[in-house]
Order: sequence, then C-alpha cells, then structure tokens
Amino acid sequence: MDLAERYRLNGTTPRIVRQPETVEEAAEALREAARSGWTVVPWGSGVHQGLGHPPARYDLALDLTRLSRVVRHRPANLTVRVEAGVRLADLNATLAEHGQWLPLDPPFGDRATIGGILATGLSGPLRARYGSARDLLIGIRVALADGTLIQGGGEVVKNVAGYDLPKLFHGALGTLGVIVEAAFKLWPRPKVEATWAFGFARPEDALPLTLAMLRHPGFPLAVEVLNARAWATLQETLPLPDAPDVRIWVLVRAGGWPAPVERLGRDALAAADRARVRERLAAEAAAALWTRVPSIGVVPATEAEAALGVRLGLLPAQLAEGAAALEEAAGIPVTWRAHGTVGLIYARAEGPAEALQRWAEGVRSFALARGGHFTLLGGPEPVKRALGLWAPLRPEVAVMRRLKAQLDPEGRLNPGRLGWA
Amino acid sequence: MAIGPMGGGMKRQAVLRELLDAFGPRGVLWEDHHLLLYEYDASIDKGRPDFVVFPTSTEQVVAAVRIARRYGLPIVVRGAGTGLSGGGVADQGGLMIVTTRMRRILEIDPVNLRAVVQPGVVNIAVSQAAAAYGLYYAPDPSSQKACTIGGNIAENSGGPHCLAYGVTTNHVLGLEVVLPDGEVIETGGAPCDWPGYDLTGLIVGSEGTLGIVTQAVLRLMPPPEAVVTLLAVFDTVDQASEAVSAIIADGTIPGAIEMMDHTAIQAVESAKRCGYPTDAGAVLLIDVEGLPEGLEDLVHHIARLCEHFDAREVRIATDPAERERLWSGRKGAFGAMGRLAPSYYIQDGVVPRDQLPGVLRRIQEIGRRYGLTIANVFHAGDGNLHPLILFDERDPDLTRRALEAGAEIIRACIEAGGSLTGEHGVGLEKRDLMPLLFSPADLEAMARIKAAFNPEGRLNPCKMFPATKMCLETWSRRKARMAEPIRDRRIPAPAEGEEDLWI
Repeated sequence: MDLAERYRLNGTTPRIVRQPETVEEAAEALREAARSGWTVVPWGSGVHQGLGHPPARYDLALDLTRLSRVVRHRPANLTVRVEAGVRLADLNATLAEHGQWLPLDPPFGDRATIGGILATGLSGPLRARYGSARDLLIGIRVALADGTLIQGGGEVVKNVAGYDLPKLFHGALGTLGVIVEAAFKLWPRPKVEATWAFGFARPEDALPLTLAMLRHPGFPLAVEVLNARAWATLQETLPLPDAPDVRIWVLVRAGGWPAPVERLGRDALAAADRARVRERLAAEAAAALWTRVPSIGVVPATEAEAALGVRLGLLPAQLAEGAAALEEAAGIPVTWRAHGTVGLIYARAEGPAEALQRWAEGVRSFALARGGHFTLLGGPEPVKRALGLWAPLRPEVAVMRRLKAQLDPEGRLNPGRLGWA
Repeated sequence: MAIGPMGGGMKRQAVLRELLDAFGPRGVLWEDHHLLLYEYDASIDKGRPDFVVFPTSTEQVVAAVRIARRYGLPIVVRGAGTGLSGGGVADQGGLMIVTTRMRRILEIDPVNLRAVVQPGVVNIAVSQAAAAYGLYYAPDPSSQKACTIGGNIAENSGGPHCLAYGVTTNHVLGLEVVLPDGEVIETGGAPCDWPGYDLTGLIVGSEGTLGIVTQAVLRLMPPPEAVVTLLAVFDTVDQASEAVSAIIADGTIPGAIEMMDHTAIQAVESAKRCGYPTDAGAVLLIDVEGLPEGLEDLVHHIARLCEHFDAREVRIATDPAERERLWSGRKGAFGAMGRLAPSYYIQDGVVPRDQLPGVLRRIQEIGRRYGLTIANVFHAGDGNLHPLILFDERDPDLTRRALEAGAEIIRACIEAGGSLTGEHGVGLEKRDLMPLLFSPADLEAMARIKAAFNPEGRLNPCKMFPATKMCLETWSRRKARMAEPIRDRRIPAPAEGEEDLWI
C-alpha cells in the first residue's frame, strides 16, 4: 500500500510523509516544511484525527509514533519524561513494575499516544480522582512551525518559572506546535480496587449518588454515568447486571487502601437509595469493564461518516437535565456517558445527516441555555460546517487567534483544523 | 474637581484629574507620602508608583486601564503585597491598581463545589465562607491569612498541602480578565474543559503580564475527615531527605511533608517551645489525612518508613491542640529567624525529590564557602526548597554575599534537574536568572505569547523576563528620586523628563 494512504484524511492524502525517529529529526522535518512552505499535520495513532475540521491544505503528514522512548523515569520522584509517540498502554505497563501509573484513560487509550492524548485534551473516567492530563502534565517540549524546539515546565511537581507552556499546548489540537516530549507527575497504583454498579429508572434518581460522590472526602477514582444504550453495548461482551426498567447506570470505582475503599462503597450504597440494581462487580469483570468504558459514546475518525459525536460541558448537578435533552429527539439512537462528578457528557448519535444536525442543534441550545459549552467531536464534515465546532464563541477567541498568529504566523500547522483560527 | 496646588507636569495633572473623576478622592493616591506605602512587597525590591487606585468593580478596572492607555502609563496590579519576588512592585512607576476593595465572594455553589470571587478576596476567607457548607479551598500559601486570590492566581501559589491537592492552577476553573486595551474577556468557566486554547491555564502564573483578573471561578473541596500529624526526628538532614524520597517512592502521598533542619529548629525553639528536640539534625512534619478508616495503619506504615531511615523518634499527634503545637513551629519559622540574624533572604528553588539529599548537602557547602548560615524550612514532599540565608542588610558585603549565595543555590537546583522557583514567582528577583533554565528560543516563544495579550508591554513591564536596557535606565532614574526625603506633603514636581519614561 502507498504509504501516504495510511494518512488519508477526509479523502485527501498528504504529498509527503515523514516518520522521524528522534526529536531532532522531527524538528528537521518541520524546518524542511518551513523552507518548502508545506502545511503540516502531526500524527500519533490517528484515532482522533476526526477532531475538528480536516486540514484545509495537507502537504506533510508528520508521523511521530517512532518517537517512542521513555526518556527518564524517576521512581523516587514519581515523574516520567517520554517522547510523544509512546503509547499510554505501553508506558503504564512499564510503570506498573514500580507500582506506579499515569492515571489517564482517554477514549481509545489502548492505541492512543501521549502526544495525541495531550493534543486532543480528551479525558476519561479517572479524572474524577486524578484530574485530566492538564493536571498531570508538568513539562513539555514542542517543535514550533519553523522547527525551533522549545520547552516549558520541567520534571518537578511544583514550578512557576515562565509561562505555563504545558497548559497552552494541551488541547490545542496541534495547531500551535508539535508536541515531541512530555513530563508527567505519576501516582502510586491503588493497593486495592472495587467497582459498584447502580441501576436507576430515571436520571434524576441517580443525582443523589453522583453528587454525594462529588463531595466525598474519600475521592472515588471514577463515577461514570451511562445510558441504557451505552450499557447494552458493554453487555455484548461483559457479564454485567441487568434489569428491565433501568435507564441509567452509575459505575463507582474506588481505589486505595482496603478500609477507605470499603467505606466509600458503603457510602455509595447509602446514597443510591433509589437504585433498582446495586451490585459490586467481580474484580475481573470490573477490570475488563474499565478498559471499555472510556471509548463509549465517542466517534473514532474511522466511523465519522455515519455517526455524530458531541461533548457537553455542564455542572455536575445539571446531568439529569442533560440526559433528558440528549434523548429528546425521537428516532435517533443516542449513546451517552458522563463523568458524573465532573459534568462532562460524551454522546454519540446515529442517523441521516439532517436528523443528526437537528439533534445536535437541540443539544447545543440546551447547553448554552444552561451556561455550559458544546463541542462537536466527530461526524460528517457537512454537519460540522453547518454547526461550527464549538459554542459559545466568546470574545476570548480574538486572543486565541493572536496566539495562533504569534506562534504559527504562516498558518501551516493543521490549517483550518479549529475553524476559527 | 479641585485637586489642590501642584507642581509642573501637565500630563500628570491631566491623569490625576481623570483618575479622580473615575474613582473619587477616596479611590486615588498621588502624594509621595502615600505612594511610599505602596512601593514594596515582601521581597527585597522597591519601586514607587505615580498613582494608586482602588477599584471596586470590573468597570472601574477598565476605566483605570483606559486612562493608563491614553497616557501611556505602565500598570502594576497589587493585592495584599505579600509577594516574595517583586511581582507587585512598580519599579517602572506608572499606575498601580490595588484590588483589595474588590473583596466580595459573589457565589458559593455547595452542590457543584464552586466559588466565584473577586480578586481582592483573602485566600482564607474563601475557606471560611465555604466552611458553612462543609467545604474549603485547598491551596494554602503560608500567607493565606493575608494574601489575595488575585495574587495567588498571578503567582500560581502553592503551600504545604499542595503535595496532595495540587497548586492554584489545579483549582481555578475560569476567569474574567481585563486586557491592556480595556477589553474584558471571560476564559473557562464553572463547567470543566472549556473548548479552545486554555487561556485560563496560561494566565494563572503569568505574574500580571497577560491581563488583570477581575473575577475567578474556584473549585472547592471536601476537607479530610481525619488528620494525624507525625513529627519524625532525625540526626542528619541526609536521613530525613532519604525518608522523604522513600515515602514518595513507596506510593503513599501524605497531605504534607515539611522539613526543618538543625538551624531552623534552633531558631524556632528559642522563639517558642514547640517541643522539637534542639539537638536534632532535622525534623519532618507529616500530615496523614483522609477518611478515618485505615488511617491508623497508614500512619504506622509511614512511621516505620521513617524509622527505617534511622528516625530516632516519631511522635504521633491526633488531637487538634497537639497537632497545632507541632505545626506552630513550622508556621512561625520564618518569624523566628529574627533570633539568629537581623535579615534573611529566602530562596525558592525546586528539585526532583530523589535529588533532595545531594542538593541539601550542596546548600550547606555553599553556605560554608560564603561564610553564611543557611537554615532550611521547606516543602520536602514537593522538592520545593526554601533556604533562608541569614545576613544583615546594613552590611553591604554580607548582603552581596547573601545574594550571590542565593543565585548559586538556584544554579545548584537547576543542575540537579530542578527549577528556579517553585511557588514564589520570577518577578524582579529572578528575571535575570531565567536564561539559566530557558534557551533564547524558549524566551522568544514566551515573548510572543505575551505579545498576543499585552503587545505594548504595558502590563507589569520588566517582570519575569531578563531586564532590557530600557528597564534598567528607567529604574535608575526613578530610584534616585525615591531616595530623596519627602518634605513637602503636597505633590512634588516630577523629576525632569519623567513623563517621557511612560511607555
């Protein structure tokens, strides 16, 4: 197969592919691109290339997956520095030997690379306890559009020297620079874990549980809320509880030393007094479940023609209303999942483009009316064009445009990806 | 409005007239004997502003910014003035905006764990207001009874308990910001993960160089249900720092791990009996906190780790009074240094935690070489060092040696893979040390980021980045004037050409 085919985006293949094996080679590829006036699309595993618009011009595919070294793990400092192409799953396998982990579980985390996870800024259920990659990232090395290598932060857990560059590049979708290395603070792996599943007839019945977990000083690892359709997807391959009139499921994951884990479970059971199902899951089932949950409700780049994926940012107490807004549109099957204590909902709908657009418009209006935000994560390009990638667009966008112009003045990094930039 | 007789300076009079119109006579200071009170923070550097205003609202901040823009005045924002790196010092003169009258807590949302506050709210006031709902605001800088949220945001402040809960940036969800052209923007908000570039994350810790924060959405937390404090006594700093590394590597993250060395213990115990053994080489103060279930096992586990590294004694305090007594030494440590020397210079380096033993040895060696006593009181769990270099600021030679030793300590931290500031900020104090850590390309990228917000450099000029020739020239001309005694209580004639210095 032609190499360029592997980097096809929205029907377009790049003119050139580079697969640097070192940070310096990656920088050199960018210098070459600058000399030649090429536009650049950085690549990790490619699983989230469907985020944003496809590039307006696509000359160079810069594949970073061969930057796959763990540069430095300091076990007694609980930090690690890695190259951008390292896969999260591989990194955590290495860290496990020291009883440590980088507690991130983004969508498709089995394939995702560190650089891709940082560029997309997508989080997973574990952020209930550990925050998102934004909170764990302590240092970053970036190749700018002209190939200049810069760094910010470091390998210390507290650092206020200079601007917080890690924050700027996290979630910027590769439009400000190409992330080539990252340093993280790590956490000890929990000594023991337990997961409980709760089934409710109505979303509002689940709120006492999710809000009790939000203010629980035992800090659950994850409090994930799923609708019945999302649950059914998991049931296809996993032995999970079931009940006919359950529409909403809440998974509570606790971890740490044994006694606090049991206490958290008792408190969760007490707060779930309206639950129709309350069950502690077997350890193996729970472990398998947590590898599957983070990708539910998310549309990977390969499925973007037939489905629409959105993310809503609400307050935790607005989740029940959010659930109602998502499932209102008749005839469109919607799969959704929410970080119950964080207030983010990932939803995926399937159907004809016009129906998807109407659904997304309704969801967007709801989010804006509640003071929240709305992002189109994946789906058919015409729907993205019609709706815009995110809302609300506030005056701060002018500052974002100026940042883009300062760091990538020729607009060659992922051009058009953000729509407004 | 009549503003009394004034010396020359047409521009100065015009500025004053506009400020008085916008703020009223009680909202502006312009006489030297008043300005004198705003020429310093808690650091070494000084600089006198030309005017000080006290806005009570975002609109008034915008008005001040517009006036400053019209007349080309630099703007420096100041909260409580507890900063340790000169970030709130008007060394280039200009307009100082003091936020202490913007001290309203606008909202506490006990369900979603959010607080919306103005920038002049004192850090501890947030926790006090949240306490009614069984919540608190986690970042706890040592000055938390005085310092403001706005200052915390500017400096990305830390504190002892940031080990477990993260620093200010991990607790700020959204901001309202006034840009130097007077535009007001919102960044982030009460819902998490606002789409677009993370301007909130960039502005936190930007030391007032990107925008003026006029409102902030903070994350609140449930407090731990139980806290146990351990005091572990060691014969040597080496043993104590090995124990810190071991506790971190073991995978138990306590709420806080603080260290004090022999010199610090001596000072503390001579000021106030806290029960630290005066012959100890070092003590660790460790807060183990969380749910009461299993906490005792965890405490004994950590105690055993300390004993493994030859702690000669581990005291365990569970009742609040006894815990308070153990902590009182740590909290009063900086004040107690007065027992040992007239002045101290506090450093703020940070190192990877596995480097603590080596770096602490180097600090003692640097002290010996410069003939200076250095006490250490610091956030060991974070690797955030606070060497206190003792000197006498009346002795110029001693002062010079103290500053040189401080810079050398920072170099040692950077060589060990660390950074030049963990929580105090760069400000004026460390701006010229930035090239030790950052390449010209790194600094150029930061300059471009600054230009996207603050293209004319009007906001907090000459801070955070190596001083330019213009910064130094303006400063030396203004410094001469500050040294003059203040005789006339009315406004003096500005020095020749002063207005030309306004950018």
